[in-house]
Amino acid sequence: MNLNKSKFPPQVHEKAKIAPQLVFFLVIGAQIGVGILGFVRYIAIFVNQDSWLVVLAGGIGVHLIIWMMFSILNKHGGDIFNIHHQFFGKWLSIPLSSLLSIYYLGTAIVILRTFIEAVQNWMFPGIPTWTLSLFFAVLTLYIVTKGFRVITGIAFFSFVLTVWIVFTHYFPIKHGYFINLMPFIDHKLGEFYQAFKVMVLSFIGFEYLLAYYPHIQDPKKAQKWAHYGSASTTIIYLITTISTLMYFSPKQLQSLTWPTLQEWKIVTFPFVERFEYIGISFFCIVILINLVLAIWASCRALNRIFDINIRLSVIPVSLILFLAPAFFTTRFQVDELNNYTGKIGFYFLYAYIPLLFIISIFKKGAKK
Amino acid sequence: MRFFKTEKSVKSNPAVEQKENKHLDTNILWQETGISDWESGYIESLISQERFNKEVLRFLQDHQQLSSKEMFEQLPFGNKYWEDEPDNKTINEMILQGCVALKKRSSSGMLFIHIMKEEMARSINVPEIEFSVIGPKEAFNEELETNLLLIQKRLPTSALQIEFIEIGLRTKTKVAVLYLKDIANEENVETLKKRLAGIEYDHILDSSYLIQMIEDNKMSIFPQFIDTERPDRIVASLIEGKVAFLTQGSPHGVYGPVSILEFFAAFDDYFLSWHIASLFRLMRMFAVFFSIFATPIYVSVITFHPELIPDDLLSTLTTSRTDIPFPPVLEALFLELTIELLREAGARLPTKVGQTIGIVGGIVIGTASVEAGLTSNVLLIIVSLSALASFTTPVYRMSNAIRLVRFPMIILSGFWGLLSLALGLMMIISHLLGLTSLGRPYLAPIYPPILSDWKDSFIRLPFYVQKKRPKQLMVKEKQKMSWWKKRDIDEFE
Repeated sequence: MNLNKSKFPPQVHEKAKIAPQLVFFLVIGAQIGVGILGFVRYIAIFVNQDSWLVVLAGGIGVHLIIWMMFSILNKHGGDIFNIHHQFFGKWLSIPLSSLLSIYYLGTAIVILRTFIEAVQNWMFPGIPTWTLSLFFAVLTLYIVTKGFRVITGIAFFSFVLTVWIVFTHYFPIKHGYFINLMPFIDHKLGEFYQAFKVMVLSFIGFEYLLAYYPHIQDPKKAQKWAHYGSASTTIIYLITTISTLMYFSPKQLQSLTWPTLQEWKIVTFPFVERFEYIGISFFCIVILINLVLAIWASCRALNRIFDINIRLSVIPVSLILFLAPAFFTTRFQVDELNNYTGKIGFYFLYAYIPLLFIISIFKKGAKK
Repeated sequence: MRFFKTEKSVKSNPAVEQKENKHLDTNILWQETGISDWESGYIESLISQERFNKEVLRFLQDHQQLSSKEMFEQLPFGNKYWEDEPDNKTINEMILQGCVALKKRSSSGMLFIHIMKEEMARSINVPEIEFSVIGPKEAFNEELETNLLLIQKRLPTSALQIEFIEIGLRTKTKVAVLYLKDIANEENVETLKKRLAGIEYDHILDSSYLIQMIEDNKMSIFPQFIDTERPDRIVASLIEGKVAFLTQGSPHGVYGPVSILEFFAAFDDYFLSWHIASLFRLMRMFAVFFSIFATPIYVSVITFHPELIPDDLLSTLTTSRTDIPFPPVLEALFLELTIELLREAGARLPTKVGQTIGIVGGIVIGTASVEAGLTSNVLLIIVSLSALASFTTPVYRMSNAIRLVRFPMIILSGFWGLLSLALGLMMIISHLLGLTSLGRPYLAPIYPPILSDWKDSFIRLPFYVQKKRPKQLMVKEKQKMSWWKKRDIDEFE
């Protein structure tokens, strides 16, 4: 174990680096997760027909944070672990980076548990949690050991294979009522703020950037693509929000757990009925990239703090991913888990990163 | 066979080495020639007796007065070698490669003349596996010499590099590595040569031995090199900037690095018009997906999500399955296995009997099992269609891999239907993402996405669009075509 590893800027082999354009897929792949199946209900509690405004605001907020991240990373070089070391010294950086690693792992668990819940509610009511989590954990383990290029490839394929699902919103919009979106902007600022806080959970995912930044060739060029990625996420969320708001009346919406899944019920093709089965199956692919990136980032953190081989650390970490979801058994617990993660994510993005940003303004940058 | 004095890049088997060093091979026939004090040594089955008698001995008779060194200088043969003080090992080696050793008893030097028997090689045949309706109909045969000739006459350029390596501790098989000096990426060439030279194995009987030994990921079921019996395909790959090798005794040339899409490109595609070729390629890609996923999708839909199917279709499916005693997974596995059995039986038997087996198996067994109520006829249709689809893949190795991938997918679909099938798809994709061929990404033009390489991947666009070589190969000379001026309306040349 070498506790001083994060003192030095990360060394990544040229062959393990990815083209800056691919950051687009990494950002969008990590952001869109299981949240899209149900987030509209949670923000509609507060702002109802104005939810789309919150989504827009959330998207703009993400752009701001991405800009901050890139300016910190560009100025000081390396990754967040190295920056922790530079800003806070060795002994303070270790707990901070470890917390980050735990946070990454936590997001993976939340995503997996929530998805398994969707499966249990909609497809296989009797399925034990551990069987699905075992499947995902093994697959994640396999992919993480193949290295970051493969992970990026998974992000790319998960985008290509699932982007068409957006077009299924055509059906609820066709059957929906535009009047549901009226009246415009009819809520207090406090309500917007609360909705905004809830919305953050659906937008998290781009903070893995702090870990994989050194894996990008010419990372300064990647900023543009990260922005494009998160803009696309916002657009997809906007479409989802608008279609959900148009299709369901406010009271009906509050009685549903998974509005998007409910919408899929009316998607029909000449050869397929009950589209939600196909939808959930394809969401496996969406979930997988979330998990893979989170687990990778968590292991990478361990690697950077304690100098543990990723090949080694990924085994216990994915074991946790396999075991942890089974401890949350009820709907209520899963909801609580989501709430807490959302809160942590909110403070991490909107308090901790601005703090780092302010420190980085006053600190001297890395030598070229 | 060409006579090589190859660099000894291969480590020899020490046990074999020692034995060969001590004694002269007992098969060598040593005898007096009867001309002054010359004696000769050779292996009867290897050399051409006629040439030995008519050319070598006659020359010796006519120039009896010459010393052995002078004789060596004056002998009118191309392949002659002189050893001042030959040890047993060299003598063995030379004679075993088809030389005649000549020695004047009074002097220590020895001269060797290569007059190997003209082998009874198979003539150049029509390609059987990669037959094309249009286009050249020459295929490689087992002679390295002939195969090299087939390539060299298509590529009369000095840039063509042919390097020989001797592989196989006992078989000492000659392998020729080919590439175009001014195009091929040196890293690829070096990787291939290094891997070939690193092989230590007793016998190399075919290029497929070598393929399996130098693949990047030896655990993968997906082939990472293409072997072809068409010299024109090898030439085309060389011109693209790839590296190829030919093996003595193998009627297949091998080239790499390859990407997965090339396995679905028949060489025919370049002889047909690009519209047709593109259509065929897309059809083959579709066939692959169909072949892998049709049966598993059927199994998962019937087992877990019958709600997916519209009413009218559902009634057809249920009637076909009413009396079947097995769960769909078992039924599907049983049928797939039957088809594989038929294929294997057809492949092992002579062609004419094989056809009978196909008919008996396909029609009789199929109909009988449906009538007996063991399988549903819908599944029978799906399974045989997916078997048919897997045969459209032009590269034999790949079509085998695809047939094998189908089985885990069927078993997976028995778990949770479409859900586990989606995970299975990701499993395949993540495996493919990790694969490389000679160190280059296997899924190349798809991921990493290189749009300019798509002109010759899923589809084949016309030749004039393909001005550049594939980027993924990182070749030295990128341009394939110097210019192509497009005429404006009413402009003529």
